Parts: sequence; structure tokens; C-alpha cells
Amino acid sequence: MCEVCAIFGAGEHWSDFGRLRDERFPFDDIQHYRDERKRRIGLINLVLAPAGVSCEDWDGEALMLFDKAGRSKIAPTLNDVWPGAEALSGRSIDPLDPSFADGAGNV
Amino acid sequence: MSERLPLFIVTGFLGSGKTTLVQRFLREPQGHGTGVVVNEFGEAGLDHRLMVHAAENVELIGNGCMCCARRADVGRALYDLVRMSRQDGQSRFSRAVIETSGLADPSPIVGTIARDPWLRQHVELVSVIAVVDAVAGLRNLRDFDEARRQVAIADALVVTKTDLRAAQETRDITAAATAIAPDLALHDAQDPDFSLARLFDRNERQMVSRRGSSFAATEVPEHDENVGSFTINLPERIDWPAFTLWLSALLHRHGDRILRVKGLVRTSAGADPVVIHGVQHSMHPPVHLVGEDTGQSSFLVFITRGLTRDPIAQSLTRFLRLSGSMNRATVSEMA
Repeated sequence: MCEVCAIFGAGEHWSDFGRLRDERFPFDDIQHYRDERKRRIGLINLVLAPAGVSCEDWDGEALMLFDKAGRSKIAPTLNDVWPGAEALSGRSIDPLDPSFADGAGNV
Repeated sequence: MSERLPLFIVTGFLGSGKTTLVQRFLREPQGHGTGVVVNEFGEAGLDHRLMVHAAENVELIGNGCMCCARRADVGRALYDLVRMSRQDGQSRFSRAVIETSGLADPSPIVGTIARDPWLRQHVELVSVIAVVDAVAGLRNLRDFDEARRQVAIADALVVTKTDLRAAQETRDITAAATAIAPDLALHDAQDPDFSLARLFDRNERQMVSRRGSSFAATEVPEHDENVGSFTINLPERIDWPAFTLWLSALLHRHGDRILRVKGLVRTSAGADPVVIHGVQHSMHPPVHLVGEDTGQSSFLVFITRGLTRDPIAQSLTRFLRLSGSMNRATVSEMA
């Protein structure tokens, strides 16, 4: 649990790098961590838009994925976003596909 | 996190000399306090007081990808070692070594540690050490996929039996191994300067970043079974949220063909470089090189099976550009 945010499980994933320093009280990192998390969710939304899936933060703890019908899936870490989005949309997500992140190109 | 038990995985083909190497280390003063997990009892027996035996037991989960298999045996054995290391509040073991069986693919072991929340908190995978013998090693690397996979995910290579009459040239063996994994730290077990204490020292972590001058990755043309490696140079500062998003998606879709990815990145977040390191679908926690920036430029090394450089480099360039934070950045060709 992050001592500052009181968020259980925050920063478990390798990409959550503020938490992964060998520092017990990463005060300086917290605001930065939150900013990056917000920005990452924005990017996930750009990437998933063509599949009709959106992503929201769930209390800084996990990510929540929704399709246009309102169905949802919890993604505890970034790793879980991709299979979750594929399950909701029925489409495969492949960054080597030139159309990956096409949604981002239109922004 | 610093109280985690340092773990070393020793892998290598049948008869390569893994047990001898581990046994030699245990006899050294620095080897005291090492707990060993073995999958098979070799002829050269280890001290049983130091050993936890784990009958090889692989559970395939998810899509059946080997790296996503859970090694229940290894998880259990490591749990026992950590528990023993904490007995009576004293540290009986200060280090753990897993010796894999000769035909084992080590990636499920790495995956098991990376995915198990308890193990992640209590065990720190320091390095994977591949043992290749100078007599049969070349032939094994040529003929056996298992031998190539063991080298592909290793951080360090120890060539054994170089003193035997039938030994082949060490440079031929290291050339064959570095054709698979270009950034291996190379050791000759018979070299008078070879130090087991350093090989098994958590502070001597076999990190690409600390071997700048010896690192000379080149694109390997279609190697056997399409196992090859390539390097992608990175922009000076990379946008961490965008980069991790891209890499996570790449490993999700193509992790079964990315035997290994490692690299040194400078991020938008901090002054110090970060070393990243992953095996197939599993990424290790990044390591911050605080105060250790040697000025080496940022790069990623991929060891892949049947995936070539250009689509990956183009995808990364495209994504970083689209993320809006790296407008000036392009992924440049390796000089």
C-alpha cells in the first residue's frame, strides 16, 4: 500500500515506477505518479477508441474498461488492459498493426 | 524492498556443469548462506542441508504459452527458502540459487516470480546465468532449441570445461552464444580471474548499462529457428507513460516471440537512467541507476523468434510521435 495515498496495491505494475524506487516514503514522487497515471489513462483511451472501449481510473487503484453498451471489466494493472479490451470489443490489439493508435493521430 | 532474498537462476544444457559450478561456489567462503533449489539430483551431490528439492511441475495456464506457465514447484520451494531465511528473526540464507534441469526452459521460472505477488515482495531475481560447456556446447546450441532458449534469456554466460582436450575454441562458443544474446556477460570458468563471488553478488548485477564498452549488439540475420537480436536506439528522453503503454501492448500481443527485452532508457520523469528488463510476457521492476549515469545513449535490445526489427522500431516511433510528447523524436538506426 502506498503510505501517502493510502491506496492499496498502487504501483504494483512495473510501469508504475515511482513506487518501485527503494524509497519507503516517496513523497516527491506522488504528485508525479498521479500526473503520469492520468496521462497514461488518456493515452489508453486514444489507443482503445477505435475498438469502442474507454478506460477510467478506479480510485488510483485499478483501471476500469467500458464498452459502448456499458459493459465493464476491471484491469488491475496495465497488463490486464489489453486482454480486457479485447474481450469487450472482440478485436485484437496489436501495436505492430499500422492502425494501432490511429485514434491518437486524430487528436 | 531491499530485504528481498537475492535469487540467481543457473541454467544450462544436460552435462554442461551447472551443479559443479554451484558446488564450487558453495565451497567458497562467500558461498556460505546460499540456499539451493534443484529440479534434479545430479551425480555431484550438493549438501542436502542447503537444498530444497522441487520435482519439476509445470502448470500451463492462460493461452498455453510456456512463459506463462506457472512453476508451482519453484514457487513452493522459494517460499520455503524465504521462510527458512527468516527463522528466529535471523537470516539463515542470504542468497538463493535455482539450478534448473538441463532440458528446462527457464522462462516459466522467471514468469512465476514476476507474477506471484508474494514472491515479488520477498525475492529479487538478480540474474540468470547460463552454463555452456566447451566440449558439447556448440553442438547443443546448434541442435537443441532448449539450449538456445537458455542462452537467450541469460544475463551471464559461463563457459566450462575449457581445459579439456576435446574443448573447442572458447571464442567460437562465445560467438555462437552472443549471436543469440549479444549483451551476455562472458566468463570462462577456468580463467584465473573468474570470480564466483562476483558472479553471485547482487551488487554485481549483470546490467547492460554497466558494460557500455563491451556491448556491441548487431542485427543478426535470420539465425536458426529465426532466433535473432537487434537493437533500437532511443530518443534522448522518452515519455515513460507512452513507452510503457506501448511495450506492455507489444508484450501482450507478441510476448511469446520476444524471448527477451532489455535496455537503458532516460525518461521524461527523472534525471537518472532506468534499466528495463523482461522475459517474454514478464517484465522485472525497472532499476534506477541513481548517480550511475555514464552518458551511454538510450537503447533497447530485443531477442526474438521470428520478429524483425523494422516493424517494432516503426511502431515505437509512430506511437511516441502520436503520444504528442516526443514530436522531435525518431527511432534512429543503430550506428
